[in-house]
Amino acid sequence: MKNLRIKAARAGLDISQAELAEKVGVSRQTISAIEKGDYNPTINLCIAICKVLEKTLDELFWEN
Amino acid sequence: MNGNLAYGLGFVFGIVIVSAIILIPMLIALTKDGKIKRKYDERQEAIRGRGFKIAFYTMVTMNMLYGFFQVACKELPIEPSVVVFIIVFMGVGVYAWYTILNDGYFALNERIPQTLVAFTIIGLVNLLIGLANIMDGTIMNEGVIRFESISIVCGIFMLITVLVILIKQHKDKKED
Repeated sequence: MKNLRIKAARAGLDISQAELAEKVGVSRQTISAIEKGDYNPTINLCIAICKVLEKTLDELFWEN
Repeated sequence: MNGNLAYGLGFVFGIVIVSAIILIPMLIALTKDGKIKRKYDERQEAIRGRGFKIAFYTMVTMNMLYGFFQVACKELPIEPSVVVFIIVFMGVGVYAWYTILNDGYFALNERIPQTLVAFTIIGLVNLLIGLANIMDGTIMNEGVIRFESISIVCGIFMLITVLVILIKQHKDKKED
């Protein structure tokens, strides 16, 4: 399932996939795969993404 | 001393000396924390694990096929040492191609253009040595493919790897 909330949060802070990837210490393709729903990140990576995007785990990863 | 035995011993001692002087210090440097250590993210680690598994099954399958043909045909027109190297190349190749296409081959701190240039040079040099061996006629002896054919096989594998990297880069650019 696509994760459009990460994409929206990223756009809100005007951060590219490559910039977010560098900040959380992963490859750009990994961020792309998470946004496309092709990869389920570990909780550590989820937390790192949340911190950079200034969101909570619920806001970015909890299914509605 | 028998010529073949001397050649074999020289080969083994060569590998041992090269390993002791170059490879072991290099491996230690690569695995210690520092600038040279390659860093992969969690998704890349998972892809590399799957790559190793696929490569392992590829090598097992090829070994079984070789064993089958060895029994069925009795005399194969290829030296066993060539087959052993081809199976190793296949294993390494499958691992490299799978991980390249799934973003697991190159580390986060690795420079892809440098690797691409190195692979191209290694591939072309091996291909040229292989072609020289073909022209010399040393690649075959009495209808049997000899160990001298390894260079051309290595060259082909390296150039396929270069091609796979270029295809992946083209695909990534299109995605961007």
